[in-house]
Amino acid sequence: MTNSEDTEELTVPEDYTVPDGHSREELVHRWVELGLLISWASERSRSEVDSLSRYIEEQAEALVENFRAISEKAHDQSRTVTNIVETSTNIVLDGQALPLSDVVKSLDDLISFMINDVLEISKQAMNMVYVMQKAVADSKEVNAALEDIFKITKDTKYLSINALIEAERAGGDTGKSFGVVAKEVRDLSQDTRDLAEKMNALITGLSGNLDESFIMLEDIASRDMTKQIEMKDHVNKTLSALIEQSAQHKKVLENTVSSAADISNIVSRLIMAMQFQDYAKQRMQHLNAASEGIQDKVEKLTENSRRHADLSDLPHELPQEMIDDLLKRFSLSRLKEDFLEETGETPSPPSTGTTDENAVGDSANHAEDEDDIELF
Amino acid sequence: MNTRQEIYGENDIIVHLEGKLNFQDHTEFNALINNFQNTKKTITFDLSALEAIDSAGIGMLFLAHKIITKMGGHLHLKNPQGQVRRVFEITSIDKQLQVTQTKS
Repeated sequence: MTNSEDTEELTVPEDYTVPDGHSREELVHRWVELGLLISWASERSRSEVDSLSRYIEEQAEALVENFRAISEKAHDQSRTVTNIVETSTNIVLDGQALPLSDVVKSLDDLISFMINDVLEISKQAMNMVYVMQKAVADSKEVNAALEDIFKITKDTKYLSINALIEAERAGGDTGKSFGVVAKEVRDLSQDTRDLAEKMNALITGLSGNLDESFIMLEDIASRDMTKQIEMKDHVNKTLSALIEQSAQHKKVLENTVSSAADISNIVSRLIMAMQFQDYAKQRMQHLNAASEGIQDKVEKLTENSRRHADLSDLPHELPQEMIDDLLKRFSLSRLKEDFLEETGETPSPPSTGTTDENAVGDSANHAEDEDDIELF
Repeated sequence: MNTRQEIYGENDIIVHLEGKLNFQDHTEFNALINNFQNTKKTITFDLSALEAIDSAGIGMLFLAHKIITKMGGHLHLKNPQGQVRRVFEITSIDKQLQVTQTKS
């Protein structure tokens, strides 16, 4: 570049000489073609950069939306699990939420209370058994006493009869008086026997009831309650296992809450990281501005060349063969198609046995590498 | 239930209870307790050979404690094992009766 570019006037240095083997007309012709090529390439590059910028923007926005949705789901999950954690160690009884440990303590107290009752009942039952045994033994003593009474009344009766006989034998007033006493004794003996028989009937009934009650009491007292007592051990183990399991569930749920929070934080960082798109867009705008500036300068210079060279056959459009040669350098088929679609060009047939991967020039190997990457 | 007594000095009697103590033993157990009438000695029931006890047996131990204490004596339960020890632990019987464990 020289200072003459700033004036947008084409000036040829006085000491300039045309290189050997080239004519002035040829050089101007090639310079104008180069200008057209630069202009063509600049326009399409900007178009592609704009398209790429929009694509990145759209995809970035879609990603951000998806990440936000993931973040919200993670928040929802965290809230839900937190709620579960808060209620997992409670039990709702009669509409009231009680800590599981309190419920277990309450059950343990209740069972202990029942066991104390069992012990008290066992103690009282055995006490009653011994009291009842004593009562049965006493009733047998009473029966024996009644037998003695019967024997006494029997002897008294025989004695009164003998006294009556002796009174008759004695005769007179003495015998008569003695006979009255003997009769009284006989009547007294009979009354005593009647009373003893009545008592015997009552005692026999009482003994029967005592025997029956004792059998019933034995049936109650002999029932082994140790199984019910030992059940406390089983219940305590079950409740302890329940508490342990509840604690493990709580731990798992808390880990889940922590994981959900981690996911949310990571997604938030990802959303922040997606701001690279703004930076890339600005950089691409800078590239486009530079490209536009270069194109503008080149077009002005080539226009100056046209005016000063005064040549009639200078091209106004980029020759097709140059376009084809340029397009061969694009190895990514999709990019190439986009160019062709924008320019309305039809793709030139590939050279024999060649594909995009067989791009010509120094970029051949580089093109193969690029084709391995599915950018589009 | 089988019983075996050992007398130490004037004030200590050790009664070894063996086998099972249940309701069927109440007459024999009552006779055993009645032997301690009018004594103020320390009665030790060695339970190390007692294999099992039912709720009636526990009731009998309570009654023995009541009778011996009423006479001015003292009841001591020693070395419950197995089911007997487990039932003692569950019922916290040591809160009401003196229970000692000198070997596991």
